Amino acid sequence: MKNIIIAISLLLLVIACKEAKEETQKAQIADVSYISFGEKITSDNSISKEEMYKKFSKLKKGDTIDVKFASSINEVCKEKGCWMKLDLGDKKESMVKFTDYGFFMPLNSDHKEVIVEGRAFVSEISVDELRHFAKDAGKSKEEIEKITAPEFSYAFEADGVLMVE
Amino acid sequence: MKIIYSFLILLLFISCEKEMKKTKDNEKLIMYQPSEMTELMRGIYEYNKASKHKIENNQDLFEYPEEFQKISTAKLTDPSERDNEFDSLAVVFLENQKAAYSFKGDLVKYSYNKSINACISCHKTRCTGPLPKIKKLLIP
Repeated sequence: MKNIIIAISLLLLVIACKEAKEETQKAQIADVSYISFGEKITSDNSISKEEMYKKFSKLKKGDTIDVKFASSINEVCKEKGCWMKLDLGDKKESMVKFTDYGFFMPLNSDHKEVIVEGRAFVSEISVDELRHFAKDAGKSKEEIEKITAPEFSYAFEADGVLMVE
Repeated sequence: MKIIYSFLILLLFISCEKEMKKTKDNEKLIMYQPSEMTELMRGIYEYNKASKHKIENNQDLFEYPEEFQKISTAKLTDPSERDNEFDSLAVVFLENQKAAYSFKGDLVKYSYNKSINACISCHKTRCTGPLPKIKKLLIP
């Protein structure tokens, strides 16, 4: 009798585990699918973040290039999701904003993998803007007040974003 | 025999728990919920985009939308951004919008641009994201 109960328990566990695995497999399939933001773009022909960094390095102030690249989100605006910083490797990052303020990213999309398509350029970020971004990112008053000089940034205006689910 | 069964059950539990943890990683995404001011400003933008088109084509403007007055009371995403500067620029915006709707000829464009410049001045120090979009509303 005991053996039968143990055998039934094992069977139930195997079934439960199989169901959990099926759910996980569904999630894994979703891992290669994307959530789209803004203009619809495709995932093909995107360059890597390292290649993007090389392109940024060659840009001069006033230059603009149309490009699509894949990277991960280092930080997203915590107030609205209206900007994000994408990793370019080598401790560099690109400040991404969205065309015509037309769409926002999820507030909890830090560290998500994304593909962005739009225009890359080098821009100067004013002290006012830097302080605003610091505030959006939840920085303290002291940290915000330490910002006193403008910065040059690898800027990107995205028409569309694909985020790995 | 019992030991083998117990060991098998333990292994199955561990394996199941790992799979469940992976599934939980697919957390729900949190999107920004627009504030009263955000909704109002989106409306103001669209209305002014249409006004710009009319002014450029020498057409009469629509009625002045009384709804715009809510700029003095609407709740902001970050309430601390409503300060004296915000309130005074809101007054400049409202006065010049009203003027644009009551004037004729070149004064319409003058007042309209003055109202848009009040928006630009305000957004330079708070919520800088929509600046490029707002600048496109100016009539050269």
